[in-house]
Amino acid sequence: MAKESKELTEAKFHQLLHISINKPLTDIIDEDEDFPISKTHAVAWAKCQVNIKTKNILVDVYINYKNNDLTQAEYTKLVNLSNAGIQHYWSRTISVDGVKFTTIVKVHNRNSNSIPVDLYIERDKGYSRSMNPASFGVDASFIYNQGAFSNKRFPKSAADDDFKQVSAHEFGHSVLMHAGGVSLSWGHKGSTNALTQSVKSSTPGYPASGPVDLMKYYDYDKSKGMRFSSLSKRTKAAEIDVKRLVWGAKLIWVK
Amino acid sequence: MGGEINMGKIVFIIFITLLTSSCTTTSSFLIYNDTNKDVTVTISYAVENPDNTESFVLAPEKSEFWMYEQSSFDTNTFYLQIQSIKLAIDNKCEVSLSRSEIEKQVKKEKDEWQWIFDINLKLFDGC
Repeated sequence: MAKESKELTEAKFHQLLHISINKPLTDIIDEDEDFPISKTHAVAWAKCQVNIKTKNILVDVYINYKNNDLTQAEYTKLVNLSNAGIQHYWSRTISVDGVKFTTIVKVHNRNSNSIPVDLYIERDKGYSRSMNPASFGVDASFIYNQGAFSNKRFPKSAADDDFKQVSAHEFGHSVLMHAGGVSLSWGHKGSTNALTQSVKSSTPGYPASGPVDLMKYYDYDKSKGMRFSSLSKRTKAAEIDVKRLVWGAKLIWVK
Repeated sequence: MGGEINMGKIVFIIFITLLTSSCTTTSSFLIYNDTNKDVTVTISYAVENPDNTESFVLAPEKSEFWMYEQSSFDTNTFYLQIQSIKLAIDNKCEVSLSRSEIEKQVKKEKDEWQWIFDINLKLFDGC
């Protein structure tokens, strides 16, 4: 009787990764013989290397940051902050078949085959919302709220920290849109109405402890408030969303 | 091509803005320690969960803030979930402020998004 190998193979990795995010192993969504379309490992803006020896997954993400009315120094600052935010909030450990992989996300600036992002600075004192519809050919808008945080009573890094978290969240809309469409992405994983963005009656308050999901909204009326300093520390992309990112990215298996 | 995308973006932004901004607005509530001493701050939140208080120490000239979405009809009042605030200094002098008392202390300038509550030594005059 042949001894069954316990080693995680590429085929098994795929199988279990797909199962864990409720995706079939093959998902041909257009049966056209000439141009079959699959969403599995198909996004142009991400690729990843899974190294089974080191138990590392390196995900390269490509963003086309567009400078609108910013000076070169402002543009460079915002690109660096956005990259740092996406890399921080999306890098985490994921588990496949009990094997823990350290997943490291690295963002690169590229003009083609990338997520288009318009960078803006809001200099007025109100807070402007960023957005990423991740569809209809509409660019994402990442907004740095310089004016809103200009009062000296705010912590010095507040505007930077907010922009990092917002960039990571908005980037996540591209991940969720590819994996689950409008209801998953605009609906913030079921926590909001997809169009009005208001929280649903079924949406819980912030968890009392542990991680806060980067891509969900929470109901302020159901739990005590969350100070921004706590929110920054506790927020992380959920494991399932990082798996969705890996599922969408072109995958290279390294033995 | 670029023009088409820009027009599409403008239409999209108008559409989303009409849907969302007419309902809620992003605001913040900030507590700033304007004294030269550490202050222990205890917040009581008006929420459904019975676990509704939290405490933290605020060093001199430091702040904590909350960001929240609030109905556009409620923009003339500060963070609705704040029920009361208790302030303690030197571990002995303690003052409790109800929401209406906090309301007298908070400031918000026109066109700004933040409500500011300064902790100053005057608040402890009764100690």
